[in-house]
Amino acid sequence: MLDFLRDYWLAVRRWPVYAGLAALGLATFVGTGLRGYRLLGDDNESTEAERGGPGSHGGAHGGHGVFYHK
Amino acid sequence: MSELAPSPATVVWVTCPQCAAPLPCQDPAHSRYFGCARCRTFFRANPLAPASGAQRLDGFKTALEPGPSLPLGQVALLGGYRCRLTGYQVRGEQNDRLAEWREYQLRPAEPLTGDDPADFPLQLAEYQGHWLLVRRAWQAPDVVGPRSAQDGSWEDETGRSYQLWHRYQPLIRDALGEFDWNILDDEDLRLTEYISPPYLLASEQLRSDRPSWYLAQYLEPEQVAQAFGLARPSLPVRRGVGAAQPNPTQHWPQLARLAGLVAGLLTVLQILFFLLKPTVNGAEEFVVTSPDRAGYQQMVVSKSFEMREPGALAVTLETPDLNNHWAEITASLVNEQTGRGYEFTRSLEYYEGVEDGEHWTEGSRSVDAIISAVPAGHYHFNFYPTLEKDTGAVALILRLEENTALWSNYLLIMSVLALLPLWVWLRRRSFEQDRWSNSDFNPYATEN
Repeated sequence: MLDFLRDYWLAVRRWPVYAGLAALGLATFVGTGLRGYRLLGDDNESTEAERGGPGSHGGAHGGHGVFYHK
Repeated sequence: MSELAPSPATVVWVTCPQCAAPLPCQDPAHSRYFGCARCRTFFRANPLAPASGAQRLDGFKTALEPGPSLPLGQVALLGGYRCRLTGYQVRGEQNDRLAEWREYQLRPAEPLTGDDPADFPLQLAEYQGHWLLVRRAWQAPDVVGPRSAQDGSWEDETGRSYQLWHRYQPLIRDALGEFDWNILDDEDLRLTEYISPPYLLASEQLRSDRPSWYLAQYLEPEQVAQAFGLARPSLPVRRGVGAAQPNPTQHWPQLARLAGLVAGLLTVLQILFFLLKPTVNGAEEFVVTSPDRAGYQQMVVSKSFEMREPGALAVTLETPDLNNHWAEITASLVNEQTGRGYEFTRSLEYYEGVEDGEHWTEGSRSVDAIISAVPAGHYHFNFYPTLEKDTGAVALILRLEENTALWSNYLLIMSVLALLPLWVWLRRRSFEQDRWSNSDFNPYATEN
């Protein structure tokens, strides 16, 4: 087990930049996974931000604006 | 071709039996064979007994260009010894007229106590600007495992993996300076070389005699230049990849180990997300119709649903009754506590018919969308459908998948973190392909 860990420690010391990038990548994966954030972007077209409270929900349809179809 | 320059260590001179040119002998106790720089004669003489005379053994036709790039007589610190460069020879192969390399004989520059160490004779070999320091091996390699050193690849007791590199019979094409053995006898030897960069192990065998082993280590040209006090440009330009040249990506195994660990961790994390944030499915069906006479289009509101935890929401809209018409649906997801809205618009169109007896279809009755990072809370959808005038009433099915698996994140991070290992692997492979292109035992050669 110690040899196993020593091998990985040696690998980290040989490739510190890659090890740092990998740690960053894993942290990003965990953070986005917990929030359900899609890194490639999603299909939300609304530019609206948080409205700021339960009292504002009465106005029916969130960010839907004028809809036009030729 | 450079003339032999006498050095302070010169103690005796020998005379060429062909042209009577005097040649300096740096190591009269050992040297018995000489190559004349003036007439290219190779002869035998005993510098300690000049009266016994010299015997001509062979003559080389012409001096081969570019000649020695290291000055004969020069002292250098190599292999842990202060050595003097005493002899130079150009060698080739009996079955290959093009192959040609240079070997430099090194003798101790100062008296060593007792007999010569087993390392001697030390030699420097240069081929296409790649240098090897060759010394006698203490013993034959101790091969680990069932294979023998005659096999293509094997491992020795130190853990070095050797691969068969070359088999040949040498040919002496030129010689200058002094030697302590008859180098012409080497033309009867059969040489086998194995590589484990930066090492090259060579066995020399005369007929069925027990082979002698030599271990060579790759030297950077800068090391050679520094040892002899020369400028780097005075040495031959390095071309291609040397047999024992270390691969610049020699730490690849560590990188591969690290990349494997990262790939494993990513996969485990993705599985953990599956387990800890299970996908929740839901569905609802509505009926939507064409605009009324006044041109107004109805709005449809879904039931309220709860996102128990933040996550991604996959939405699928289906219009199974849509036929030879189009529809456009704007979907607005509303957080009932905060009022925050998310919105997307999708077009559906589905056409079918028969032409020349063949049934055809175009378009799709289903579209999907992903809304990411949706906070926990209660939500509902408002749909604003726009249907073609004469479409009539069609069913609209909403399918929801809460905490949908974000494979794109997994694949994106995996791909980004694979870039460096992939690049290093390709570079390593290309380097090895270049190296082995010089070998008859090329493992990368494609079979025709």
